[in-house]
Amino acid sequence: MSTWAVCNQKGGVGKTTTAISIASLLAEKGRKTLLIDLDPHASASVYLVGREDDANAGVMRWFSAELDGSAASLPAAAFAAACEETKQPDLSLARATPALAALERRAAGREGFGRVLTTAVARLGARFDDVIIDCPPTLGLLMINALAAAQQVLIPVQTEHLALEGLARMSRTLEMVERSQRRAIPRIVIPTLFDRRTRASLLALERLREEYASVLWPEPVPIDTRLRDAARAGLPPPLYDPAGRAVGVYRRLVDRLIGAAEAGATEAAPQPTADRYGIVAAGSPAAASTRCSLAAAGARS
Amino acid sequence: MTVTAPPLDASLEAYIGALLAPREPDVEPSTDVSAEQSSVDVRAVAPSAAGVESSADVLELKLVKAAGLVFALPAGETADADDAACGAARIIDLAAVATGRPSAAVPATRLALIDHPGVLIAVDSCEGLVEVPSERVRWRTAGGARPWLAGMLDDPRAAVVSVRHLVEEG
Repeated sequence: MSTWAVCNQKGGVGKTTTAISIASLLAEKGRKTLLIDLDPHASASVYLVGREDDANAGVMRWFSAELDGSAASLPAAAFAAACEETKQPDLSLARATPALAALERRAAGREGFGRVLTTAVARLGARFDDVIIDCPPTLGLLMINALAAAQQVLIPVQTEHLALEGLARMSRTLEMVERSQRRAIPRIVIPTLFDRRTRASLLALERLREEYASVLWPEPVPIDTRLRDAARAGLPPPLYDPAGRAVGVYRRLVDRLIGAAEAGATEAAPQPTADRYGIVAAGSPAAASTRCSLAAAGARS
Repeated sequence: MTVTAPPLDASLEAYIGALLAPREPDVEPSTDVSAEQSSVDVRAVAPSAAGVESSADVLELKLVKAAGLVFALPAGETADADDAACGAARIIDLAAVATGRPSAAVPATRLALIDHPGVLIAVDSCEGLVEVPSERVRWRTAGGARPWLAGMLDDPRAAVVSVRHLVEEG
């Protein structure tokens, strides 16, 4: 089983869209996939299965069991009961509820509470091939649980200046978790909401290529109104518009993730070929081409 | 991976460290730690008579690391695995059993089990031997979800492993 956390301490960078798209594409390949929604706003949950009145539904069951001391005696099936099917075959959801927002206070002072999700995922065992965790945009108990449970972290970053500052904070947080767990956590930075018509997007992308070249997914996810349409329709983007531009980028990323997972690889640095992806790592001809286009885009920033 | 943290992040790092600290056993230990009252067979944890060099109430434990956690194995039940044994044995990845994820250590350190020929335990590293009075181990009192977790030791902080249950589960 492979586990990826989709996280960034900044909101509005495309975390939920990225998480849903990747989970949907994994399921599309016939892989039993679980999307864990850890964001108390429950955007992914509402998107995929609608609202839920039971505050203790979904992932809250796992945390509640830990709080009341019953987790150790729960059979694996009880952990799986927190997962529900979605409209897409092979895609399940462990939903979030607003009650997650109070977890920080309820679990105050409990050492080791950052490992609850790790245990839950382990107890789910062979039920799923892949697990995708959609994180809240704040550093706290929930995000630490996600980072601890993840084998690899996917960091969507909006291609704009403030989002890059958020990425620096996220990187520091990851380093802290790495030190605490005494393991490296491979990561891939995914440029999102890229608008090639604006100077701000182009500048941000170039800075990402300069500062995060070794972990940067080279193909930015473009602004794509079809993603918004898919959310309105309640369908994962790959189901709503399989040929969409943004879906195409996610599809190639998923191919890469699966390939690396099946090879047992843990390298974070994505290295797709230039021909296929128009690779734009710093110093490459394509990067130079981007710099050239900055001048042309200057008047539109 | 950076080794030192900026001072401003120190409190945040402490917070994260506490959240990710090894957890207490899932079941509260009995106040009476006799083997008869524990559903985990303490004799499966305690070193065999041949493996104990001091009194019967003192456990000699081998501390090992796996998945960033510290485990204590009965020293008298384990031995360093030689290369020949590595080729033919069933290997139990302690990290995988404990966390669900395989060990990241390459190559892993392997320990042979004296009472289980042909079975090896893979860990990230061996940290040495300690002797602790049996009563300092907080034994688990019910089967729980992880029968291999026999108890917890606070100083040094480690999860005490029942080799027999580990072999049965792993």
